[in-house]
Amino acid sequence: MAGTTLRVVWTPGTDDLLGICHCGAEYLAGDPIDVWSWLLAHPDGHEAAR
Amino acid sequence: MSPGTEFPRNQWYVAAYGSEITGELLARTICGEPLVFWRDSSGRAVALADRCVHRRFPLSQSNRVGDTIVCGYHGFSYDASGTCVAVPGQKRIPRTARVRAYPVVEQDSLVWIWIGDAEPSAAGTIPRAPWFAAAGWTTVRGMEPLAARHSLLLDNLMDLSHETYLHGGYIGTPEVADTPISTEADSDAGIVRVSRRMADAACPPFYAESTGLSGRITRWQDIEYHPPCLYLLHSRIAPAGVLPPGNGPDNQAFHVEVGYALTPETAHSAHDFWLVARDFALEDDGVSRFLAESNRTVVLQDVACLNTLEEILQRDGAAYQELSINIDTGGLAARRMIRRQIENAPAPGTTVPEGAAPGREPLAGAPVTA
Repeated sequence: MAGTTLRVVWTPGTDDLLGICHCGAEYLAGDPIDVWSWLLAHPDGHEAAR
Repeated sequence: MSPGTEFPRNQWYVAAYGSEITGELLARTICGEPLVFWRDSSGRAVALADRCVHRRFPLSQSNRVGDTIVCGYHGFSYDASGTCVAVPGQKRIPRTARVRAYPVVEQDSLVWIWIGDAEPSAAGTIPRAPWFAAAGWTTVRGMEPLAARHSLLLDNLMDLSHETYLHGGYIGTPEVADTPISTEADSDAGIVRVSRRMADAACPPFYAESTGLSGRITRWQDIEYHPPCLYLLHSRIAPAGVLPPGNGPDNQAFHVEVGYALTPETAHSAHDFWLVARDFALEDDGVSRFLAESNRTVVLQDVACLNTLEEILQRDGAAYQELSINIDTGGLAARRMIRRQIENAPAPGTTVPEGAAPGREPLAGAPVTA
């Protein structure tokens, strides 16, 4: 993964969005506003979500 | 928040197809700036402000004489650099007698123009789409005027689940809306990628007619958006279960490269350039006609939808809380990159950092709003 690439994977069979930060931290969200807000807040909140 | 009417300046935008620029004068407004285009005697595409400095008469309604334009009102004459080289009745040409000339780059059959007051970023930062002009591909294309803001077209293209509902019978099947997507926002490259890969899907008429496939298909839609202007959709169609081989060419599949250039005309209108390139049936004019007619129909369905939305947005005003769901993940990422381009616009006269991609942005940023 590129150094500044943020990824969001819509988990098949669910309504969940998995956010994957460029630092490797992951976060499971229920909507796209929530997941992008978390990704863009790096590093805030990332340790707790790991 | 509704899709905004702003668009970034100090960016490269597609202004025309190369085939549109001839010895004749072509008028086109890009990002609110009225321009006149033509191709000079050396074959170079030229873009000038479409207003005579004297009394604002449109140069596009004037006369080309050699490599100059002679204003059709009083005869002020401009060369390809925008310099006034003759005025009527006197020898002294006022020092301020010039019109703005715009940087132009022609590549991949597209004519790009730099819109902004900063020095243009290097031509090498303009995204490429070589298949639209390369051997081994056949391309059909068109352009439809859109009476809607740039951001509405962006929303439309970044979420292809609408194909199922708006474009049924052409490119939409139930599997498009039912298949989850993965999204990447690549800040280094300035690209948003959205991937939807359908393992076992119905074959829509657009692909059944053009490829001859009749059964279920494996259908991949890989979007690559280069803000603010170029949208590429890498489409792979194959019989269900046929995946690319580990080695060698992917010759059991059909590849279609769909492109859109989203160019603002004004705050409330846009030029919707569309291209469809294929790597099969290269010499088959029937396939070309079918794909051109089908894609134009699809684009006109989008145009009708977005024109309606523009009317509603203008009528209803901004007091409206938009709702976004999973299918909007890519569109929200694209909006954010556009917002950063607007916020990070360089000051007039400054130079965009060498090597900077048009969409490059700092990683940290304001949260996405919807």
